[in-house]
Amino acid sequence: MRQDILTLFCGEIRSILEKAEIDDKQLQEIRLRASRPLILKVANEEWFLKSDGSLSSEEREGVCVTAGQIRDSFAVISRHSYYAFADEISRGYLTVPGGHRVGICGKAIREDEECRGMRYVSFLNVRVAHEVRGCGERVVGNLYENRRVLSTLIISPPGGGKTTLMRDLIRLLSDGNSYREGVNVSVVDERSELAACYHGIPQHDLGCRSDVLDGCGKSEGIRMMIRSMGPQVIAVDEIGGVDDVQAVEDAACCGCAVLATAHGESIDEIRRKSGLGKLVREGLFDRYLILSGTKHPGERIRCLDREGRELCRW
Amino acid sequence: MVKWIGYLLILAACFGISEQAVKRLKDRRETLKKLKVWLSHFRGKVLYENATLEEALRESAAKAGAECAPFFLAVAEALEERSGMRLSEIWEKKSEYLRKSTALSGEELGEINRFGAGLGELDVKVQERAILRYDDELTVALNGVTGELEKKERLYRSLGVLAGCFIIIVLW
Repeated sequence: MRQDILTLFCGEIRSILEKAEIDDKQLQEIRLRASRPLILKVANEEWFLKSDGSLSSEEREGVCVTAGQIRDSFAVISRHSYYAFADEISRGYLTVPGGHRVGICGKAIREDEECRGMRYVSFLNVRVAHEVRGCGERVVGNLYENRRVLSTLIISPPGGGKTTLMRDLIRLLSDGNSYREGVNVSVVDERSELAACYHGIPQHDLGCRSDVLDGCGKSEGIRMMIRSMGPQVIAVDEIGGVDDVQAVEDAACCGCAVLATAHGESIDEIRRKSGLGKLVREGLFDRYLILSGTKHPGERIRCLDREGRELCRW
Repeated sequence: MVKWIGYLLILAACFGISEQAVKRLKDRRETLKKLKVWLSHFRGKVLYENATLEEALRESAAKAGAECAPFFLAVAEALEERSGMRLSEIWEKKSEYLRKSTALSGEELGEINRFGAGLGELDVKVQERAILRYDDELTVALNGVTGELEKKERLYRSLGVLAGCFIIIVLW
């Protein structure tokens, strides 16, 4: 297993994971739950990890994780500096070097009706980041019309590969491709998933004309980027809230193309959503990329136009 | 003639021993002063720059002086290695540096270990309280050493000379 993933765990868990023979490219998640067996999600299938490092489909054979091991692992993940990541922890996740995202669960510390932190962390979900260079090449040609970049919404269920596709599309738009030269792309990366910035430096390649605003709220970030960076394309992950929708509208009014993602199965489902649905009904997006595929994320992609007519599929 | 040289050497050795004891106290005082300066920088890194422990330790180490800096750098390096060890284990293991290279007392080394073991957990307010508490402990220790030095500096020197004289008289 990759060293950057192994170093997220305490010594005891690490020694078991070291024995596991897993294709890193297929590994999607590592789930730790107190007093429950360790689960690995490999190629969209769940496996219990045995103490000898082999995988089993039988729960009783899986090695059980203790609450202490989870807390020690959490200390390692937060680099023994809980206070420095308090904001992210209060939102329930941490982005770690390599761009991986760790979901955190435990007892929420509430103050003024808001979650201020987490105690007794007893559940961890390490989502392994995969940078699939080139996965957007088959799609990128459909994002242009008369050399103009079109506003595009990528739709897929969670874990469907939309962030991976979006990341590669940002790179292709930014660096330029066989359809046109590169454009300035401003990336508002609220959850540090797209660029996976570590100390402000993107860990993933987003191209040479991309500016990244890391850890800032989407609506505020979009407005800041329009004011300060003069983007031709604004890229933002997982829009949905009323504020996000308003900011995306503002960006479109400023002449920026918007590249965004949203959870969903189909354009009709998105159309029914209260905030984002309005943008779809108003025809703000010129293209929709709908991802599906049960075995491999992003296995099948459909490209629709503004009216929802299918232009092509892969 | 040789006898007189011997007496002089005895006197010089006894005086040297007493000077060594005074120097240890002075070194201890200097180390505590530098630790206070370091703590102030470390506090700034943690509270105002929101630096992680490894960053804060590495960047503030130079303020701790030549004796303590290797200890803080060693802890920062161990944290960067992501060995999976607990911070308290790393801190205690690396505190051997302090034991070997400084004149700090066992109690003072215990205090710094207790301080390190509690770092990093919970929010920034807790860090601030831990830093302030350790700062108070350093102030108390520093006042203690300064008082001790005032009292014992002359005493150690006098005792050194007197011990030398006593040995010379016995050997006469």
